[in-house]
Amino acid sequence: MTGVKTTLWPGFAMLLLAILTGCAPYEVQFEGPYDDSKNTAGSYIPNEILTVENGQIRLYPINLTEGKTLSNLPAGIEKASINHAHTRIAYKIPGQNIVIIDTAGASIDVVANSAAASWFDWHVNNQTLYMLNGTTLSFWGPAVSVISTNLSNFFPQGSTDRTMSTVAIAADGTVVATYRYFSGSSVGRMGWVSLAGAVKAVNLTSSNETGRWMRVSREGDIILCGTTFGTTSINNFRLNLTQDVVTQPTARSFAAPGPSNDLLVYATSGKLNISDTNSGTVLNRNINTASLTALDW
Amino acid sequence: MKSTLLGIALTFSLISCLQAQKAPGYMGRRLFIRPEIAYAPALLGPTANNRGGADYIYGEQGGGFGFNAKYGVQAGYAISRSEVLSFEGSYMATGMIMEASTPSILFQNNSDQHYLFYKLSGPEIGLAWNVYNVNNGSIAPIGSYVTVRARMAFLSGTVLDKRTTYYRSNSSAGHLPLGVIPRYRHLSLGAEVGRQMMIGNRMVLSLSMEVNVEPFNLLRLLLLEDYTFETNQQVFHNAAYARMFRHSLVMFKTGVGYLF
Repeated sequence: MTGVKTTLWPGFAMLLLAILTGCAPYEVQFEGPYDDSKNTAGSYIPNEILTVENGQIRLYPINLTEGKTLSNLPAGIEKASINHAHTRIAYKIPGQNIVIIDTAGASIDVVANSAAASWFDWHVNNQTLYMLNGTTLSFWGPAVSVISTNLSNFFPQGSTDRTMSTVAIAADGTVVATYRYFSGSSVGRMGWVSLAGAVKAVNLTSSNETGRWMRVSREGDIILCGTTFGTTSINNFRLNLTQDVVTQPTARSFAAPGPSNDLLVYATSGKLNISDTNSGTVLNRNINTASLTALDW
Repeated sequence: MKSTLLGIALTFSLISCLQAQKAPGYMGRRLFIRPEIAYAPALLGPTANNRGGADYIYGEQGGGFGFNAKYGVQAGYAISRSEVLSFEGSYMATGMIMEASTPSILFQNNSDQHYLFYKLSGPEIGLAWNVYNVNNGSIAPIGSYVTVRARMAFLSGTVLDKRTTYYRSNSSAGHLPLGVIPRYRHLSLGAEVGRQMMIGNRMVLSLSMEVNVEPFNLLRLLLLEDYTFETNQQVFHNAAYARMFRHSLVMFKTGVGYLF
C-alpha cells in the first residue's frame, strides 16, 4: 500500500498536466482555416491591362487570355488610364470632359472643366487623377503635394513655341514632364522638379520630339515615357528617380510598367506583349495595334 | 478406507493447488478496462495548438513548452498468469508544418509558395501483448510489465493557418488548390514498460513509457536518394509521416481503470 501511495501523487500530477496541455486552442489564424476543396481560384483572373482599341476600352488579364470590352461606354474614346489598384478608370473622348468609371464601366463621376486636358493619369495613391491643361496641373480626388501646379518654370525665360505634352507625378511628389520650346533653336526635353524645387532636365534625342505617353511605376519611382518625332519615329525614355538616371530602352509605340519593375506591357506590330525580365519570358497575343491609342497597367 | 480417503483428499488438494497456481488473473480477475492519457513533450514539432519546439513561425503565441496528448481506453484480458492481451482505442492530435507550392495562375512557369500549419488528428486502434514479470511477484494484470504493440492511426489534416507567398506578390487571382487529400494512415510498432497497481479493491493505476517506430516508411525514406517529392500529396504524406514518427517516438502514459 505504501508503494501505491508513493506512485499515486506523481501519477495524478501527470494526469493533471496532460489534461491541461490539451485545453489551449490554436489562436492565431492568418489565412486559415483553409479548406482546399472550397478553393475555386483559377476560374477568375482579374483584368488589369487596359487598352483603347478602335475607340473602345478593353481589359486583359495578366496572362493575356481573353479580355473584355467595356461595351457600355460611348464610342470614340481616345485615351484612358487605369489606377494601380485596378479599381478606377478615367477616359476621355476628344473635346469632352474626362469621365471616371469603375472596371465594369459604371460611371463614378465626370470631371468638370477637363475637356481641354491634354494628359491625365492616376497618382500612385490610386485615388487622385492628375490632369495637365497647357502647363497647369489640376486634380480630381484628394490633392497631392507638388512644388507648384504651374509648370511653366520648366521653360527657359524668353522661350517661345512652348508645348507640354505629358506629365507624371512620382510617389515623392516629383513632377516629371515632356515639353518642347524654341529658344534660338528647337529643343525637346524631359524635365523633373522635386518637392524641394530642384529642377533637372535632359534633352530628348530629337529637337522636335513630342511626348506621347507617360506612366509611373506602382512604386512611384520609375517614369516611362514614349515620344514621337517625324511621322513614325518613336523613342522611349526611362527615368529612375531614385538614381536620377535617364536611360533609353527599346522603343515601343506604347508601353506601361507592370505591378513590379521587371514587368512591362508593350505593343509591337499586331501584338500585345508582356515581358518578364526576372524569368526571361515574354507573353503575347494578337491585337489590332493600328487602332491602339492608349495602353496602361 | 482411511488411506483411500487420505489419498482422495491429497489428490484434490494437489489439484486445487495446481489449479490455483495456473489460474490467470489477479484474484481471479482477468479483465480490466482503463481510460488513459498518453503525452510527450513536443520537442521536435508543434502541438495541435502550436506550442512546443519547431513551431509555426507565424503563430504569435507559438513555441515555448508544450505536450502532445492523446486520450484513449484500453481493455486487457489476462490469458495466463504472465500475459495480457489488450485492445486499445484512442484519439490523438498534433501540429504539423508543411511547405507546398502551386503553379502561379498569372505567371506561367512560376509558382506560389504556401507555408501551412496543419492540425493532424484522428482515431487510433492498437493490439498489444503484455508480459508480466512473475519472478518479482507480478500476476497479470497487476505488477510490472513489458508490452509489444501494433497500432494504426487514421489521421486527417486541417489547415488551421496558411501563409502564401505569391509570385511577384500578385495575389489578385488567388492560387490554385493545393491538391492535397489530407488523409494519412500511420502504422507503428511499439514497446512499453510500465507498472499497474491496485488502488483499493477494484481500481487500477497504470504508469508506463512507450517507444514507437514506423519502420516501413523510414526504410523507404532512408533508401531514397532524391528527397524531391513531385506532388503536394506526396509532400503531405511524407510530412505527416515525419511528424508522426517524432510525435509518438517516446510517450508517457497514465491511466486509471477498473478490474473486473
